[in-house]
Amino acid sequence: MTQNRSISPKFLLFVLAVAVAAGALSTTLKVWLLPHARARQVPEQLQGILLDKTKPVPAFRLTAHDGTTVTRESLAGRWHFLFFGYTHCPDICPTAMGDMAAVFTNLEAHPGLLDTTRMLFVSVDPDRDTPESLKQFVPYFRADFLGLTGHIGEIENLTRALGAGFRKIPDKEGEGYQVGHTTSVFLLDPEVRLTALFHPPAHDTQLIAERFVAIRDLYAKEKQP
Amino acid sequence: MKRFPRTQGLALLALLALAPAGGEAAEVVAREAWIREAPPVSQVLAGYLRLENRGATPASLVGAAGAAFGRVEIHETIMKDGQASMQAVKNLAIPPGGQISLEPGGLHLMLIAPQGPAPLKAGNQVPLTLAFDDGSRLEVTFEVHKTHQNAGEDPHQGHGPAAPESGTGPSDHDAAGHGGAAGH
Repeated sequence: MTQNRSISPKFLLFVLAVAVAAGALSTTLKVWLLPHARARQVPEQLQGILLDKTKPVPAFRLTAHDGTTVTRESLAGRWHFLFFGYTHCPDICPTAMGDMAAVFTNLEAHPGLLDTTRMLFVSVDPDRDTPESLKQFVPYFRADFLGLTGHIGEIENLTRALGAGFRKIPDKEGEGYQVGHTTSVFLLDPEVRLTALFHPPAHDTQLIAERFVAIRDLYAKEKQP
Repeated sequence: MKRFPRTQGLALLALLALAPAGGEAAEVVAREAWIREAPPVSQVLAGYLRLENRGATPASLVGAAGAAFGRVEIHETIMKDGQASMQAVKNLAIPPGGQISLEPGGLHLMLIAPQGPAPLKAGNQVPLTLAFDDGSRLEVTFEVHKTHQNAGEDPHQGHGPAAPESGTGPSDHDAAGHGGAAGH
């Protein structure tokens, strides 16, 4: 009788284990069976480029090389490629900007598309990169490319939100410094959300152009009722 | 804009001139040497090339200099924590029978403080002297290109795929004469 009344600890453990297993299974099934609430289906050709969830861009205020003020709001309604770099950068930055100029040349084959597409070069070295020095650097690669600089805090807001980064590295001789920085090209959609990332080495500029067109098509489809 | 001392470059040039030519020099040839045309304001440019070691002993690039720049350093772009930065390379080894490519996004010659009266433009030819750890040197003519997209072809391919553009050691003059390398 006493044996029947008291529940053995082993039995309790067994019941607990079953409960935990069932719980885990049902959670797994739920995740499996429920449609993904917010993550989008990324087509195979855009894997590793298109984010499954867009990321909002916070408010910021920077100055363009033509003297105009650029804010989060002023980016709305157009697609923007963003590259973070600096004018004293001899290898990565000119390579990336040259590649993006070639991408834009490829995009000229699509009538009207460039009217709503812009390339922004955001300086991560605002101490040396004034609007004036950006004016002599950025449009060299393509006349309609825009260079942005400003308060370092504003630039940090932007890089942090996008998952980019940069850091000053003093020269060993103490003569000057270089800036280490993210080398990806960030794509913002017309709602000013980070939607895709192009990682270096991205020398296949025709492919980048094609993928950008595919991303725009996908966006247009998503917007259809 | 910061001024870079020209004297350093001249000092290295003088050193290169004094270095014993040839000797036990490894047979290194340079190919596809090019410099990226940069915005006229740029105080730092990048040079790229492929170095082939056709000798039986290891070769090691330790420096470069030229009248067109205040200073030249061997640099490598490295990725750390998702960020790119540049690191000076003191000694660039090329194994016997092997080759090493200096190309965008990786190894490059960092060309500091351009000295010419006008910025370098696509099509310009720029002579640079490469120095190796055995005291040998190699004169290489770099051609200025806008991008790597049109720099891939060997500008001297008319001389045949096996024709060296330039070489180290006593045969230096000959090879340079045929291959189009200048700077002598």
